[in-house]
Amino acid sequence: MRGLRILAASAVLLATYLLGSVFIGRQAVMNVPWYALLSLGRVAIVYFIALAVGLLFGILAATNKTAERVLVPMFDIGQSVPILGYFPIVLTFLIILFPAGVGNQIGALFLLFTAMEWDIFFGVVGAVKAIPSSVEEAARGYGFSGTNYLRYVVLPAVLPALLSASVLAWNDGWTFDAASEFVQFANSAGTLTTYSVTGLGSYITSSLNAGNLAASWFGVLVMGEIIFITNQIIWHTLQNRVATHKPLLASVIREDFQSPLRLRRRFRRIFSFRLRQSGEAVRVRDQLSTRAVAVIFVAILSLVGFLVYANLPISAVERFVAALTAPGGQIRNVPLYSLFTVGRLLAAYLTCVAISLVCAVLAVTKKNFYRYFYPLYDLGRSVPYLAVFLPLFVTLHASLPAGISQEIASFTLLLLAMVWYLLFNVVTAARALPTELTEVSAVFGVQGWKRVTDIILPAVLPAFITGSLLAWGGGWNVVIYSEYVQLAGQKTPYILPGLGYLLDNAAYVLGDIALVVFFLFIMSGIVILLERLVWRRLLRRVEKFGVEFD
Amino acid sequence: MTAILSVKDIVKIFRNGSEVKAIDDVSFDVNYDEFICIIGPSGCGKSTLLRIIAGLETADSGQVLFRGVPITKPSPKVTMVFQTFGLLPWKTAMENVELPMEVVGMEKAAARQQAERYLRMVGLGPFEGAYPHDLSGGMRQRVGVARALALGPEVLLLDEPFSALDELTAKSLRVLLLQIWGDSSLPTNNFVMVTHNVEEAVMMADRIIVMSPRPGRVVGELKVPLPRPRFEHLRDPLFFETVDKLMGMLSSTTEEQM
Repeated sequence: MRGLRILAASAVLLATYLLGSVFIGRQAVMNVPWYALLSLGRVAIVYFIALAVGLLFGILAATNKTAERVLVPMFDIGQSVPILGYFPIVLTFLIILFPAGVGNQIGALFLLFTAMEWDIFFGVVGAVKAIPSSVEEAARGYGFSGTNYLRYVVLPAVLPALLSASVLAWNDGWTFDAASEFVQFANSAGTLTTYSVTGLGSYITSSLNAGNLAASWFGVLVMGEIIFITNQIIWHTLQNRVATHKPLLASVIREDFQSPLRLRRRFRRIFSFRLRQSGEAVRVRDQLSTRAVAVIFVAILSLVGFLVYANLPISAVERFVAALTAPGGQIRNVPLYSLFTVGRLLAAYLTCVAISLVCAVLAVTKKNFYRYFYPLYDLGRSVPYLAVFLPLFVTLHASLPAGISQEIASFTLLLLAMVWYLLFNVVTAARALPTELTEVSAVFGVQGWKRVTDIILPAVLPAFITGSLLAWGGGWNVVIYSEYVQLAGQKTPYILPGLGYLLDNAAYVLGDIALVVFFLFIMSGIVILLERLVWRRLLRRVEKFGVEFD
Repeated sequence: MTAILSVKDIVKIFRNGSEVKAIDDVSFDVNYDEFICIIGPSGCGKSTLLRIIAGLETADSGQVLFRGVPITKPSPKVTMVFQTFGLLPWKTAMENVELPMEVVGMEKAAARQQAERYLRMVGLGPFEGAYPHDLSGGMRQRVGVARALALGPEVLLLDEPFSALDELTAKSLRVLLLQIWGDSSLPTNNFVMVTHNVEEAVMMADRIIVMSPRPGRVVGELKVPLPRPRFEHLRDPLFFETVDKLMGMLSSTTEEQM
């Protein structure tokens, strides 16, 4: 079965390559397998680093109170601050520190690491904390300690969460691969600078630079295929194995006697487990105080800012004043541009809300829904949306004005980045709706619209809010990327007015670290404010209305 | 016609890859004003049988007649109390009880009045504004009972209603249910309860239907000779004799299987 799948996967990749050579040209696609291997290697290496770090610090944070107080806020900030927001500052920093070439290599690895780490860390912490106290007490009673406890209790308990987190991390890693391998900007004189790391991501963008749109899409296709294939062959196989061989942890998931398809039950097990994991992870993050977060956040950013300043020739104060008053700095645009960026996110979010709520209702009312949903979900989740953005923009720009093309491409990017969190959480919650509640609505004749408003929507509400929190986090990560596009042969960049544009402009074009830190503060402030004041508050409020899953 | 409910030749097969016969040719009657218990080991299909009576599931053959008319879908005349209560966590006790009445199109004020009345009856008057999350297990099941009774059904189905509760709480709820059943001013005087607790069945039922392990068949029937009110006779030798007898019927059917 598995051998067959590997064979089929190889056939698909080979066919793609051959078709590419025929229709795009041998020269253009010749090196693609090599690029793909390079990217695969990079993603895999960073994944293992992220795994090691996540396991080590995750178990430490979950078992030691002091470690928890330090580590959880640190990682929480890491995941709260939009990765692509601080990428410019990190890249600038690294290029000052290291010789050219080495700096951006490290930068690419770092960006991938930050894309992958948080899911793994919080997954581990959540899973260790979810070990039932009876298991813990039994283990202690039988004299398990230290390595034995770790080996026979903690690691098996963590495994399912680790796999779920790994799937997310793996997909995120691939998605950010495109952004990590290629950074291009022009200074005010129009001189083009490119930081490029050889791989599939940079192939996609440099093909656009060379004016070869077909080759760029070809790169996207290959990347999507690799994500899909690795998901199917590695992750799903592992998850099935864990889901069936760990009855202790899977026991909370109800056996579904009525479901005729084994496939469906399998999916359901995996997915409802993941749902609880993501809820657990959010809860862990929720435990820390806002003050601790704020203090550490300010400390880290100040440190980074200071270190960067120390490497600059002019005195810090002078630089800062100059930056804040420079005409290119566009400080006065901050309020309006912030609104634009939030508006972009809101438009995509509302679309996601509509899609996911319709799917939630279908999930409860249509028996066949899952047969179509899960394959589509797997397929959709494999789309490397950051890689899609630029080719999509160029394709649209062939027939539409630049601004409109960029807005549409940005909207698509955001939709693809946000919709899965909501869909996944909401549909899983709808699926996990206890049979008893379905029976209650049948016995008491709650049907039609009343069933939607009184049963289905309230039942998915907590999952919906968790999904929203995650979706906004994911959205902030990528909106920045879409607001600034610099292609070769283009004197000025394509821009969308927004915080991301201000940030990229300050970092790359003005080269002004003070301004970058300032914008980063503004953006992180908005992100953290929205998360704490809106989502987590809502989550706490609806928590007690959640249905119990056991 | 003495039976309000007639279960006739019910067969139920679960198809889940392979076919498993869950219920095999079960028939019995529920007479007017009767309290029936269905008892049997786990997996004997007794809960499935109750769901067929409720119109939640369809039998592969056979039918259930309510006042001579086949039951094909749920109706407000036959309601159910669930094992783990089945309350909507996002609605208050009051709203949970009101919901079925709203669905049948009852006036809002009338529904509220009715809900208040039944919540008071189950002893939850002061808690009408509380959410299930803030209620104890026993209180939640009281809401479940009030909700099932508020529509004034003629038959009340109870699916192991006390098995998720601790014994002390269960005891007081049993007394409450017996009071409601015996109260002739209420329209609901026919109870069908599924249980696997022998003492509970003897304490509550007029008649006990004993089922075998899968495939579930009726292997015996026991009329409980104990006078009412039952909680005054729980120390009688007759109570223990009946319990022993029922125990014997159950163990003979389980041993047959082994």
